[in-house]
Order: sequence, then structure tokens, then C-alpha cells
Amino acid sequence: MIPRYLATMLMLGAIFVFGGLRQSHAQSDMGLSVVGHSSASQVFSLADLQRLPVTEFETSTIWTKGVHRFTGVSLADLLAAADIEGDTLKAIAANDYSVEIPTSDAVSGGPIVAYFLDGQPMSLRNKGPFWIVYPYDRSADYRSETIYTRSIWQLVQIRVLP
Amino acid sequence: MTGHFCCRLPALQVLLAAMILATAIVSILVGSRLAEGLRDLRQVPQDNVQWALAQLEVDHVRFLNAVLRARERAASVDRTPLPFKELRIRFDILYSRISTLSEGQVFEELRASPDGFATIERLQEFLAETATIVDRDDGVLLGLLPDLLQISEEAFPHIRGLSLLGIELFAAAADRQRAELERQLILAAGGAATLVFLILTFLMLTLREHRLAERRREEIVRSQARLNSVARASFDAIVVIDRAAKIAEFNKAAEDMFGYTKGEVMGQSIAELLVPASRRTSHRARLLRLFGEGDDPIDAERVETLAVRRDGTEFPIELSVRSIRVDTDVSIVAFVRDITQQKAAARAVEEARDRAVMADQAKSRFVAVMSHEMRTPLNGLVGMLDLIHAGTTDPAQRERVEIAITSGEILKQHVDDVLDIAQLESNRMELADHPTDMVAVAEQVLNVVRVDADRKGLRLTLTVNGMASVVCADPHRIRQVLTNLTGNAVKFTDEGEVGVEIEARPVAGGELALVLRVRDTGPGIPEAERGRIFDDFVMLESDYDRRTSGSGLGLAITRRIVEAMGGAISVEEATGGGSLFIVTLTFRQAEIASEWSADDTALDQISDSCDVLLVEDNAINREVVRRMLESAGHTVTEAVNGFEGVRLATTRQFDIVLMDVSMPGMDGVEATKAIRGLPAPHGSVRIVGLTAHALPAEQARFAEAGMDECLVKPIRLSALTAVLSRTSAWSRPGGFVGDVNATDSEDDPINVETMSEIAATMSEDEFGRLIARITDELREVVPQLQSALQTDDLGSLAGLAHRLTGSVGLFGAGDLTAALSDLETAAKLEKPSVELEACLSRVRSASELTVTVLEEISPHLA
Repeated sequence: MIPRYLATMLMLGAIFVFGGLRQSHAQSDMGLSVVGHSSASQVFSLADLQRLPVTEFETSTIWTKGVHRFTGVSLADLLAAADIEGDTLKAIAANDYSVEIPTSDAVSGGPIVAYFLDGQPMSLRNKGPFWIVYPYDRSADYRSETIYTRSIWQLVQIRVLP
Repeated sequence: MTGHFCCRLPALQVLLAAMILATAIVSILVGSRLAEGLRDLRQVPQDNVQWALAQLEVDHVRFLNAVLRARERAASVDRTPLPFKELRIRFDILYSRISTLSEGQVFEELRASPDGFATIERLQEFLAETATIVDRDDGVLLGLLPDLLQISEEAFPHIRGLSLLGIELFAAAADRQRAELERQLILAAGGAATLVFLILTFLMLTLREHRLAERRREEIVRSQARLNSVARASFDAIVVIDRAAKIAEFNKAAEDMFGYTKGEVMGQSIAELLVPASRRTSHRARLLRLFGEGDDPIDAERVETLAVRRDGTEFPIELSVRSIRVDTDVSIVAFVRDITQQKAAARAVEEARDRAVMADQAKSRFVAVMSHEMRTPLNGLVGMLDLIHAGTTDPAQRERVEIAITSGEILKQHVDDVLDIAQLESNRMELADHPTDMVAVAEQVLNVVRVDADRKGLRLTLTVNGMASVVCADPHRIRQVLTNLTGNAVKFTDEGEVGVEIEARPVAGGELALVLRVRDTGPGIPEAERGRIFDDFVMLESDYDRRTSGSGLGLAITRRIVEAMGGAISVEEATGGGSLFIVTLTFRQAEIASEWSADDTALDQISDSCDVLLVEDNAINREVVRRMLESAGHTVTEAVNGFEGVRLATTRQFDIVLMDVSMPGMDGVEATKAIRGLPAPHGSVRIVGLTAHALPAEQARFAEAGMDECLVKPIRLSALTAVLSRTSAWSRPGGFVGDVNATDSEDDPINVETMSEIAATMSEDEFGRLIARITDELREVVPQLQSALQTDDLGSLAGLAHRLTGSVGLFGAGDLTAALSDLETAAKLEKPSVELEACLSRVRSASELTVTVLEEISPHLA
């Protein structure tokens, strides 16, 4: 046991030297797929999303420690940009979690598709690259079980339900 | 009033309200806590936690699967590209999941438990170890796959354990939360129940209070209605005024009384509407006092005053006012009673009384005049009989004359009795205050009755006990009392004796208490009659009564005289039968004995011859007296009136002047004054008045005029002789000696002293002019009185009478002043014209007398 722990310590040291580099590289190729009624999928890269209007707010979440600044595109802006119409969206995560979100949630001051946490891109390990975040601190309405289930991280696809 | 009720909540309700408030606050607090708990319940996503923990296992298994699949693929031929993409994604997902566990707020509790903390530590170590492998290049990773698998499998029990621990912890937490919620729910429910209970109680109490207030209000309304109907039903007007003296209440009787309706007077000034102008000052003063202001505040008052009706008529009222204080507000309630009827009734009673008094006075005057009118002829009758008796030698003739004389005397006595009663009835008895020797008076009385006693063979005795009994008293009245008692005793006693006892002992203040006892051995007075014998006109039914003559007034007069002197008289049975009369009197002790008192007893004293001037207008009287005097050896010069008397007295020096008082023209009084105005020795001659007026006031007037003595008609020879016997050794004494003495001079035509004083202040001419003015006025105004009466102008009558009263009052013209003021009063009272006529005729005669006197006497005074 002891020798393996020592090895583990060594490997942990290596992770900071190499792992960081590889990860940032691996992340850039992941995009957000948005699928409308036409079934034509649009993929928004981080750069695409950054070109859309930026929405930013600070809030705490039940899954993190402390208050963080989230930067991204509001769901409303994204849907507009993707020319999406419909009543309900289905958001799908990399971990196969999925949840339905009514398009009525997509309002000004509502949820965003965040791509930066405290100004930094989010890795998959850190719930990245995209995370639907509601301004929980802004309203008690956003601190409900339903909203929490809709706060999907490691988001990979948004599709409109027929 | 009702307002006070509502505002004054009972303490219980205040307490309840406070409790409700407190409970409500507590409930709100509990409620907000509950809401907060519920929000927490909503915001703390237990389901999310459960999901996350369950998902941890899933993610771990999927990572293991990915590793296993990668190993299979790596073992297969097709190795390019190396199948590590999924492995890495699965690892990242697992990594992300575990990171969430170690960071997320919702897992705080999990991390706080020692087991949880340790497990998460181990998982993080596992992550770090795994990451070093996963993050290597594909080639290296390929080689390390077995290690990766092993490490991952080793992590499985920890993940499982964490998951189970999470379930356990979160279940407990959920239980706690539920319990807390339940507690708060119970608390909230309890608070709500308490609140409901309190509110219900409060409501009940308030309802009860409301009902009570309602009942009280109804009672107040009822009592108000009662009061109102009482006020309406009152026969007295009720007027209430407020602090500003404005009318605030005006009942039905007030409407009827004053002629205003309530609506017209409400809020109006009481002074302007109901108080006559003449009474406003006193009205204001009364209000001030009732309102508690001014120097002399009062609560209530009852006065008689005047009020004014709407039509301006004034009427007398009895006003009963009272101030009413409610807190600081003051109002005044006035009960007003119209006393016009009472006033009229009272006036009627007064008039009736006045008429009765006047009638009584008229009766008294009539009696006095009648007795006077009877005395004068009696005087002539008895005097002549005396002369006949003196000049007759025939015994039979003498006896007849004696009987005639006795009858005349009895008649005179009756007249005197009636006159006395009249005087006593009108309470006009005037008592002299002379030094009086009681023993001498008693001896004198016994001498008088001795004639009768000797005739019946009775013994007369006089016993004197105690000290010398010379007192200040009215000797005439005491003589009258003793004469009555001893005369009765002699009259009713046939044998034995009549005894008089005088007992004197000193009492406090230099006074003497006298007891006069008159005892007889007669038949006595039955006990039943004793209380009655002092009443008027009482004659006991006995043989003796019939034998004796009398008016039945003797004892009644005696009693009245004794009582007038402040004494008492009683009768009891004497030892050994007979009657014993006891008179008790108290007098001031006198210094000297009266000269006059015993003088009458010198009946048979022989006097020296005197030179007498007799002034008498009545020819008969003049003749009688002249004869009497001449028979006694005196020289008589006659004068037929006052002027002649004065003239004669001026020219000659007489030893004595006998002066009739009542004469036409200059009467005796004025003539006396005129003589006294002469130079000595003419002015100092002894003057003795002859009068039918026995009244003390008259006597005083005579004394004032300068008379030395006075004889009451009819003149008796004995009295005349006695007077003349004293004259022989004449030197004019300092004081007037008369039957009675008095200081009252009300009935004078004029008051000489006053006149003299007036005369002394001005020259003779001026005084003459003053007198002329007054006499002119009297002559002028008296006929005007007559014409005013004839034209029924009572106002002028009263005014003229009043004016004259002032003019003549100056001179002390008592008769005229009294007559004038009687006339004035009668005119003001609007008496019947007969009465006014009577008053006026008195005025006329008094006026004539006064004018005469003034004109005749004033030169002397001036």
C-alpha cells in the first residue's frame, strides 16, 4: 500500500505538468449542438457562442462553493440565434443526463448557457464546457427543485421537442 | 355622556386586546418561520442529492465499463485509433461528480460526518491517482490499463459506502426537517387556535359590553324622556341657561308664562328677553355669583323679583335658581313661579288687616271721645252737686244730694273703665316713671276705701315687710291696681277684715321686687272661676254681684295694667277662707319719695286765701270752679280764653293760674307758653292745667308747655283744695307734677322745642316769613287736596300730601304729620273715597290747628 501511495503522489505531481496541457487542447473541439424542428443540427463552438450577445451574472449554486461569476449567452439569445421555435426544449448532457426545459424559461434575466466560470473556460471535469445556469441568487423562484433539475451541466445538445 | 361609555373599555378587554396583539405577533413570527422552513424545504433539493449519489455509482460503473471496453479494444487487432476517448469522457464525468460532492453546498452535511469526510478524501485521492493515469498519452495509458482497472475497482466500496451514508444522513436530515416543520406547524396551529379563542372571547365581551351600553343608552333615553315630561308637566316655568347666559332649555310652563315658544328663545340672551330693564343689574350680579365668580359665589338662591312677558307686561315671580356643574361646565336652572295671585291675595289680606286696624282705631277713638264727652257734663253735674251739698243744711236733702254724687262717681268710674280698656286694647298704655312711695300710695288707697269699710264695719290693715319701698313707677296705675283690689275686697266682704301687705326685697341691678297682697275674709272665689275672673266683663253669679254695681272690667283692667308693668297677678284661697290676690312687680329703686304721691290724701287741709286766675272757655265749668274756689275762700279772676288769660297774667301777679287746656283760639298749652314767656315774676306764676285728657302724652305736652301740675276733669273740690293748699308755700319747683308723665309729643300741633331751635337760628323777621310761608302753604294746599280727591286724582292727592308732610314735619306737627301720611298711604293704596274723606277731614282740622298755633305762638318764640 505504502509504495502505491508514493507512486500516486508522484503521478499527482505529473498531472500538473502534463495533464493541464492536454486537457485544454482536448476541450476546444467540443461544441454545442442545437437541433430545431427541421432536424438540421447546428453546432455552436465556444467561439460561435462568444460571438453571440454576452450575458454575465454572479450567483452561488448548490453544487459549488461560494459565489461565482458565470459568463455565457442567454438561452433566449441562443434560441433566437439558432432560429428555434417551440414550447419545450430537451437539453442533453455528456453524462447522458437530460431534462426538458420550457421555452418560457428563456427570458431576459433568466438562464444562460454559460461557457466561462470566473472568466475561465470550464473543462468537462469542472462541469464544462457548457452549463445552463439560472440566476439562483436573484429570485427564490430559481431556487426550486424544478429549476435545479433544469440546471444541466456538461451540456452537449439542445433540441426542440415537437 | 354615551361617548364616555364607549371610550371607557373595561380592563379585561384591554388585556384581551393586548393578548390578541401579542399572539398575533407570535403567530406572524411562527408563520414566517414556517414559511422559511417550507422555502428551505423547497430550496434544499433532497431529491437532487439522492440523484447525485445514485448517479455517482452509475458514473463509476460506466467509467469501469469504459475502461473494460478500452482494454478489450486494445487487445483486439484494430487498435487505431486507440479507444480512449470514451474512457476519458467517463472519467471526466466521474471526476466532475466527485468534485461536486466535495464542493457542493448540498453535500455539506455529508462532508461534515467523519465517515463522509474520510470517504470523500479517499475518493479524491482515487481521482488524483486515476487522473495521473488517464491524463497520460494514449500509449502510456494503454500500458497502465490494468492498474487503472484495479484502482477503479478498489474505489467501488468507497463509492458504495458514500452512497449509503448519504442516504442515511439525508434521511435523518429529512426526518429532522419534517419534525421541525411539524413542530412549527403545531406551534402555528396552536397560535392560530389561541388567536381564534382570544378573538372570540374579545368578541363576546365586546358584544356583552355593547348590549350593556345599549341598555344604558336606553335607560338614559328613558330617564331623559321622564325628565322631559316632568319638565313639561311642571307648573313652574323651568328655564336653563348655559355658561354664556343663553337659554338652553324652556319648558311648556315657561312658554305659557312668558308667551314665547321654545324655538324662539333657544340660544337667546335671558336678560334681554325675560328680565325687565329695571332688574338687569341685580340679574347680572346674581348670575355672576351663581357662575362662581365675584366675591360672594353661591350655589342656589330663592328670591322674589319681577319678570317681563313677551307683550312687555311685568309680573312678580318667585325665582328659585341653582347652578349645575358637570365637570367644568356650568349651567343654571331657574324655576319660575308666577306669584301675581299670591301677591294679590297677600295685598288683600293686608288691606283687610289695615281696614280692621282702622276700624279698631276708630272704635277706640269713638270710645275715647265719648268718654271725654261724657266727662265734661259729668264734671258740671258732680261739681254742682258738691256745691248744693255744701250749701244745704237739710239732712234729707243732703242725703239725696249725696246719693246723686255717688251715682255720678259710679258713672265716672264706668267711663274711666271703658277709657282704660280702650287704651289697653290698643296697647297704648303709657307708664310714668316717678319716684313712688308704695306705702304712701297704699295708705292713700286705704283712706279712700275706708269710708265704705267703716260703713260695713270691716277692719282695714296695712302691713309692710322689708325695706323702704320707694321705686320708680307709675303711681297712678299702682293706685288703680290697689284701688281695684281693695275696693273689690271691701265690696265682697261683709265682716272681718281686708288686709294689704307690701313686701319689698332688693334684686340684682338696683331693682326692688315688690309683692302686693290683698286679703279678705269674704266668701272667696270658687277654684273653677279663678282662671276666668281676670277676663273682660266677668261678673260672678252671686248674691254679692247683684248687690254691687260694676262694669265687670275691674280685674281685667287690673291684670292688663300689671302685665303692662311687667308683673303678674294671681288669686288663691286665703287662709281661713276668703280671697288672696297677689301682685308681683319689679321696679327700679328711687332716690327720693314723690311729693305728689301722698298729696291727694290731704283732703281736709285748709289753705290760705289765694288770688286765682281761672282761664276757662266753658261757662259752666268756669262757674263751677269759681264757686268751688270762692267757697274755699279764694279770690277768682276769670278769663274766657287764652288771649285774655295771657293778658291778665301780664297785667297782674296771681298766686296761681288754673288753665283749661282745650280752648278755641289760643288753648291752654299755648297760653301757658305765652305766660312762661313773660318776664318774672309774671312768667313764673304757678300754672295748673285742667284737662279731660288723661293720656300721658298729653300730660307731657302740658309739662313741656310749662304747667306745674295738672288736674283731670271733672274737677273735685277736694283735689282743687289740695292744689291750692300747696300753693300757699309756692316756689316754682324744677319738675312738672302730673297724674302721669310721658315724653311722647307726637300729637302736638307743633313741637315747641324744634320751633325754638329753628327760631334761634334766624332773625325775627326771617322766622316770621318762614312761618308765614308754611301757613300760606297749608291754606293753599289743603283745598287742593280736597279738589284732587273730588276729581279722583289719587296720584296728585298722594303727592300733595307728601309735600305737605315734609313742610310741617319740620315743626314737629305730630297730629298733622300723622294725618297727612295716613292720607298719602290711603291715596297710594287707592282706598275707598269714604276713607280718604275721613283722612282728609283729619288733615283739615289738624291743619287749621297747626296754622292757628303757628300764627299765635311764633311771635313768642321769635
